[in-house]
Amino acid sequence: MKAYVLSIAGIVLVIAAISIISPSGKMGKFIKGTGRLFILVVMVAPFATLFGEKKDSFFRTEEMSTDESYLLRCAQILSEEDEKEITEYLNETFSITAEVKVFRKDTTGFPREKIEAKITDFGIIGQGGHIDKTEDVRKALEERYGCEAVVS
Amino acid sequence: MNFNATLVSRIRYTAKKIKRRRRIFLLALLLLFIVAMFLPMGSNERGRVLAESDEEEAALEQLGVTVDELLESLDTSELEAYLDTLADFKDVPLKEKLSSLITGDYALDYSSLGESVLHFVWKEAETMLPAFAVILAVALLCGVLNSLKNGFLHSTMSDIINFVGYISVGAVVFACLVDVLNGGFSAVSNMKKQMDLIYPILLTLMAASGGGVSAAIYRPAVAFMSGAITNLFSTVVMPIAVVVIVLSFLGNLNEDVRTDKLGEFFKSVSKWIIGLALGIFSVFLSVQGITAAQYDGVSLRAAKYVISGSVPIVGGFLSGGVEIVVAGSALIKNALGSFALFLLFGVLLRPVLLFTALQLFLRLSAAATEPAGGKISAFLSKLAGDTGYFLAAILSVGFLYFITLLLIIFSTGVMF
Repeated sequence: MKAYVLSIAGIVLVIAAISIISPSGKMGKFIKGTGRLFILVVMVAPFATLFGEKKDSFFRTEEMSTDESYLLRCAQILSEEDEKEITEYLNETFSITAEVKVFRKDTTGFPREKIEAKITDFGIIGQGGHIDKTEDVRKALEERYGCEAVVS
Repeated sequence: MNFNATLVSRIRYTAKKIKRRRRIFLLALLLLFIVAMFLPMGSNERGRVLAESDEEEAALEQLGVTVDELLESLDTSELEAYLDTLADFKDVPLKEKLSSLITGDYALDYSSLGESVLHFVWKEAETMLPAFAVILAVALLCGVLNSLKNGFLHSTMSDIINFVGYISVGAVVFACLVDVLNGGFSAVSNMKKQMDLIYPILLTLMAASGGGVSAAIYRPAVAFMSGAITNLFSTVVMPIAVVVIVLSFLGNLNEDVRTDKLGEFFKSVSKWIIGLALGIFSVFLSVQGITAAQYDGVSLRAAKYVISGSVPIVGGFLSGGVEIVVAGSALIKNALGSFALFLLFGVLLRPVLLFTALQLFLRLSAAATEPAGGKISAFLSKLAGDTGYFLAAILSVGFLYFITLLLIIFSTGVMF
């Protein structure tokens, strides 16, 4: 574009200067006419080549990435809150103590993926009732939180 | 009979006028209603929830803590590095500014802003005074020589002197214009840089604040805006505006050499591109964005009730941990969006004021040189109009950026 503008400006300046100093009469008219033809050629020339060349896509854009670490941090904050809540829930409902780990996805809404609960203290429940209790806790967690629960 | 026909036609005309006025009035009311629907609800003071119970106070406190935590984990290093390159925003602690925007403690000093604007315009006008003096001197000289053309001075000699005088004025004007045009190109380049830095952060916050569908819709749109649209304006529309300016100078050089129609052609190309870009992009994006935000709002509310047994953590208005994170992200998003609007204003202000000063200078010069006669006054007056195309290109990019920011900020209101 810069070259195009400079070429038009240059040719117009030159032709204008020549028009002033050109003699009057037929010679002067001939010079002015030739000058106009030159200007026309310079103006139109780029348009003739425009349709011949194959141009790269003008509208190609780069993809915008998001800050994954921020989304991970949000999921982490929610997971920590879930872990506290689930620990209290298990304590109140089943009278057991457990180490809980919650895994949330780092996508919109941060849905829960999985809950892992390792029971450290079964309370008053005897050794024989551990398996049933584990199964009850697993079902209760899956029903309450709507995701896979692994209880050990 | 004639009298009756006249009376009937007058009554018909009056009825049509009243109908048209009523239509315009109803249309204005409808537009006002639509705009009011999407305006943010109230000021910071009214928007703040009045904590009536201990539970709600605790919820607000937890929200504050979460917002601080989320703000710390947000990666704004590239944006801060960019702010350090700007004179007005150098050494500005970004996260503190966002915090103050969230709490509503940030306030603009309008009086000092107004003073700065006036001072800037006056300073620019002062730097153009020598150029004004040169233009006036050349125009007077050419005017004197024109009157001598019919006297003892040969016609060709006075034509040459007029030609040289016109070129001199052109050189002086273009020397003033170069700074202004460079300022314009720099403003668009700055806006593109801001878009590249701010949009990814806003999209992240939008996704974190429950706007999954909105983020998915805005992602290609903002990439298109930051890439193709700014590219189109900076490589096609703005250079075309420069060509129009140059052709308006060349067209007045000589009666035998006219470039007016070529200038008109480029002007119409420029108008079409600006019109299409503004019309298609802004309307399309607005409709899609608003629909997506409504979908996200419904999904967000539905998700609250899908998981059975979800226990309210605190208060009544933030009944889940997800909502606190979502609300916190939404607050940060809106604060960053508002900050981006301030940045945009800061970037646009200088070229707009430069163009204002330049247009005043050109029109004043055209008015002052008109009595001297000749082509100089007509050239200056035409140039003052033609520089408007360049300013229109800059403001169009700014407007599209502004619209996208507003849509991203306002999308939260629809979700909640």
